Amino acid sequence: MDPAGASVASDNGGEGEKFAVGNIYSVKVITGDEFRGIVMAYDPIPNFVFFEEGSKPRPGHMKNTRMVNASFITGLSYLGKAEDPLDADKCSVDLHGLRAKEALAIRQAEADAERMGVGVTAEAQSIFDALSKTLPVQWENTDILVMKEVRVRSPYYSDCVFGGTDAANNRVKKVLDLERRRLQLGT
Amino acid sequence: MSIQPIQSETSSNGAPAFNGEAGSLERLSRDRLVYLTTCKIGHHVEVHLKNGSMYIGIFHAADVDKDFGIILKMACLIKEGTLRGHKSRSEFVRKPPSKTFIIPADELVQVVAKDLSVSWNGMSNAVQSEKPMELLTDSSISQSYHVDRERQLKPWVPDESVPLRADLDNVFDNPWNRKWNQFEANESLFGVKSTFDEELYTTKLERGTQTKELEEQARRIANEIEGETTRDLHVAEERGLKLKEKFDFDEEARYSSVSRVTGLDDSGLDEEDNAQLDTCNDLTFGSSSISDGQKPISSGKGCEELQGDSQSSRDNTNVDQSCSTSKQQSKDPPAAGSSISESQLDERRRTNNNQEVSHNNRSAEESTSGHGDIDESAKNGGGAESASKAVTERERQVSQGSGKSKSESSPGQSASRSSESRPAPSTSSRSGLSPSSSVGSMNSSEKSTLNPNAKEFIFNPKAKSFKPVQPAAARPQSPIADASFYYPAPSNVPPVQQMPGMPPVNYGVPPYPGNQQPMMYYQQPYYHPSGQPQYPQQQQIMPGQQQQQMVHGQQQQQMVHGQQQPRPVYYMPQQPPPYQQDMPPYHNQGRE
Repeated sequence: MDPAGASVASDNGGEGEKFAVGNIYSVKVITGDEFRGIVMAYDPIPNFVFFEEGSKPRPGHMKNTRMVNASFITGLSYLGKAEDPLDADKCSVDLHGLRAKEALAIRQAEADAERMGVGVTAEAQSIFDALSKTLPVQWENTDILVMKEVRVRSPYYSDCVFGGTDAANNRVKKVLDLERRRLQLGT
Repeated sequence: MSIQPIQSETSSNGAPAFNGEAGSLERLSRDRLVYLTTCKIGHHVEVHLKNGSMYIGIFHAADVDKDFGIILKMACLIKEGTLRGHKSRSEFVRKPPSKTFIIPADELVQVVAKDLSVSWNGMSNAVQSEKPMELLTDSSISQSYHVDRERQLKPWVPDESVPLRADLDNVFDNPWNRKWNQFEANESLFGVKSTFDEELYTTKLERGTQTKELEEQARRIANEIEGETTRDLHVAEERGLKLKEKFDFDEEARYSSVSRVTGLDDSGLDEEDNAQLDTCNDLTFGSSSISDGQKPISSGKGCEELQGDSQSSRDNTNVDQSCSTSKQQSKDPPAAGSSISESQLDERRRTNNNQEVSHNNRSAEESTSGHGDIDESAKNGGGAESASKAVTERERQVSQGSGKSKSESSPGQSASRSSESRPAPSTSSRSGLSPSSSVGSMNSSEKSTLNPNAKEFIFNPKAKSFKPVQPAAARPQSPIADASFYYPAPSNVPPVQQMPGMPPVNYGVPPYPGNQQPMMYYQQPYYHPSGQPQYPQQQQIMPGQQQQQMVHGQQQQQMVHGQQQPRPVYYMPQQPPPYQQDMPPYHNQGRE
């Protein structure tokens, strides 16, 4: 692992210690991304810097943050100094709450994943989403299965609707047409 | 590479094994980094990799011991890094999310976490800004995460075929100003003839010899009405008047038919209701002013509240009766028949004469709380009986409260009385009504403005004593009551002192102010009337209280006075030692 500073172009004019807490930098990384941030934490051993995005600390407890691998910083310019974005008095971690938050997020993500088609285009996905507002739909490979009996095949036009009773079939066709028109996808 | 979940690293003394000298500084910086990384657990983050690809997922762990490689859960690829051009998301073909995704540090460029909570703000890190309990809001149900196709918005251009708007400019003017007659327009455009005949909808207007005068009169009256100023918002709007009041009426206030008048219980009262209330007041209190010199308004307020609850006048009279009966009782103490109350009422009369002011205040308070009670009983549909009963309870408690200060009654009575008077302060604090209501003031100097038709008040000795809703609200002074409070099952544990015929009872250690370790070793009162009374090995004494004498009075207890340490009381009439093992179950019960 590169020791800090070896692969980084840095100018040390007046900033004191490198990546001192409170320093404001303009950062560029090797992916091309650029941003401005205030240093919240830095550890040279793993060589990671924790920035708060922005040029001045956002008041309150919520911040947009970036944890950057300092080894991949290609451009760094010192912009000034700000106060410590972290209020040391209020820093506490509720592990239990965090775990619960994570579990909840995972559950929601899994539910979302159910609704996401695998290997389908975004257009297909938006049709699926539109249909799911009023009809029970699920993915079956790349087919949309409506009410477990009507099948909409790619490319999801009303002539691709098969199965189910006449009434259900017509209904799905109609809804599909309307949703397409609403989404301006063209019927 | 071994990934250690960050959960084990949260304590700030996860000191790294290396690096002794710059130890504290390093540790500080590492700690900050570890702390901030911990805050990200469960948060949705966006991860940029060295090859340009981007993933989003739920932050799960980071290897803080080594190089900060991270683990994501339910990670989705949102941008391919290998392609040079930037494909827009909409054309991207979806892949299923990876349940667990490990990113080594040397591929990790940055982790972006938006709106991350980094310090405590009154709520735990996890709870803030998350919908609790997986509430499914409509927007979350209907929203799809990856909807990125938005319609191109085009500015609206008016249709050319629509006729000029000039004709419609004055549509909302007064009818005689409009230059556009819809009926004419219809007839010309569509050939529709109007068959409107005014007389179908209204009485025929006779135009005779006196038409001119009648019209003059009508016009005069109409102008008069229309010219009236009004405070009503809606009427003013109709007439086109602008009320001078503050202009923060929103649409709802202006156009809703629900009138919201702020201020106490007299919501929705109009001028008509006020007149009603005045008559109610007169009925109850007579037209003469109250002796205290307080205006009838305050009493009217009390009456208002009652009326607000029960609209029917019948209930009013019932309540009025109880109001009057309460006053009657104060006025005619001899009317009460019970001996106890008589003696106390005598005391009360004395109190009345001696300390009228303080008593007034207190009784006023009690009586307002009495009103609160009347409210409830009226609400419950109770008739005059229950209302008056509730009121009498109050009177009794008030009288008892004052009697207690005299301390003339026997101690046996005082115990029960103290428990009864206990609710009084709590309810008076609970009612919170205007203290100076003169409705129930028990002045003996009150004039006879009472309702002569009211039922005579009969004291009911069997009436249930009032128990407040929150027993913990009023903390009694006697330690006995404290002890009884901690007993789970036996709510009928008698107080220790002065219980003739009862063997010594166990009681736990009530939490005295100085008592730091409340140990709840106790047991149910366990005695055998016929059994051999045995003596506990240890005695726990409540400071300041005499230990109970044994039933049969054979052997004296060992008084261990001054023993301040709370120790468990073991009282086993039958077998002392084995019962000691039984303590834990009760002990546990007491822990709650």
